[in-house]
Amino acid sequence: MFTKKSTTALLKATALGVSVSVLVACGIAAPKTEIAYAEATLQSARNADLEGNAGVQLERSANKLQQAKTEMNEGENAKALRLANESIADANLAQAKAQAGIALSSEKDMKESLEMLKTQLK
Amino acid sequence: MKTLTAKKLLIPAILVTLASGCAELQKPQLLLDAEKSYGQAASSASVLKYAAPELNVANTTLASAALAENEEDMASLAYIANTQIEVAVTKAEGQQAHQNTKNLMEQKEQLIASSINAKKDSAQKKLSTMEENNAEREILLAFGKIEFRTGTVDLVPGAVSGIDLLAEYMVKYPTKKIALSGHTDNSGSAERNKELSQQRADSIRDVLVSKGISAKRITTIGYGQSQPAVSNATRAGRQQNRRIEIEFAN
Repeated sequence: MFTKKSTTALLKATALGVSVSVLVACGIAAPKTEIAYAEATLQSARNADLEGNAGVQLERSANKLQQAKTEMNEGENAKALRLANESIADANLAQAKAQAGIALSSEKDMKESLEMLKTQLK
Repeated sequence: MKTLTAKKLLIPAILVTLASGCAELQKPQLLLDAEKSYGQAASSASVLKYAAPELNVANTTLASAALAENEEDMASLAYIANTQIEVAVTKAEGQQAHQNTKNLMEQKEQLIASSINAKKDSAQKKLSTMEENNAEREILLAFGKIEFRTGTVDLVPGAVSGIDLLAEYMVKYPTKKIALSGHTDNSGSAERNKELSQQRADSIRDVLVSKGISAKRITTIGYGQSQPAVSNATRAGRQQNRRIEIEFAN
């Protein structure tokens, strides 16, 4: 059996718990910085992809960035933050793919050039 | 009846909240996959050599994913970790390709350099052989004019120039050896002619030795009248048969 005093205390504690939960859910600020960084990283990756080696990753990054913006506009900041960070990771991968593709292409060209030279010198 | 106080009710409530907050979430497949990929990447020498910082970043993200407070964060961090691992592997591939290209470039440069050197060597060798052949031809021509006073080992004036040429040649080509063979016409006895031809060949050897040429590089033989170059029937023929022949050897 509850006393009046204890019931009041219980209600206060419950209210505090609910408030904390609400704060946790809504306490994330709009990830404007992350989205701006994702945009810059994506642009940099696009510029690096001279030979079109990273189309898939660039598209994925762009889609995530767009979703992040949408979620942020809808006040879903936590989702927006996750998507922005994923977009950055995808853009970084796109950049790595772009650079590796160019390096592999150079290696292939050099191999062919060397073989041609060997043939000419025979 | 004993009444329940708010304090007594709050303690289990707090414990339940803490327990649920600290409870480890079930790892999603994406995180398990990422951990597996990390293990593979971390065992690659190429990744460790060329993309260690990127792999460290992925490792940190993996650790954050494992400690995530909710499934959404865990899944997202697992995705990011997986992508970062792929970045590390891709970067390593690119760097390895860079290194391979550099090595191939060096091979190409070495090949070009050795080809140029081979051509240069070949050209020099040809030039050297040409010079050598020309020198030998000149010496042979000069020796064709060498004459001795009849019945003696004394050279007629002017014959010395051929020997000087031979001495210069032997200084320039220090590995060359020569064989001098003396010949006479059929005047006089064959025995005397053989002796005379040997003495004439030896006299030229002695001149060369006096100019610093090692005697070990010179062999001499006297054939006397046994190997006439032309008929001894005429005076001109006999003169032609009184000769010193040279053979060059390496």
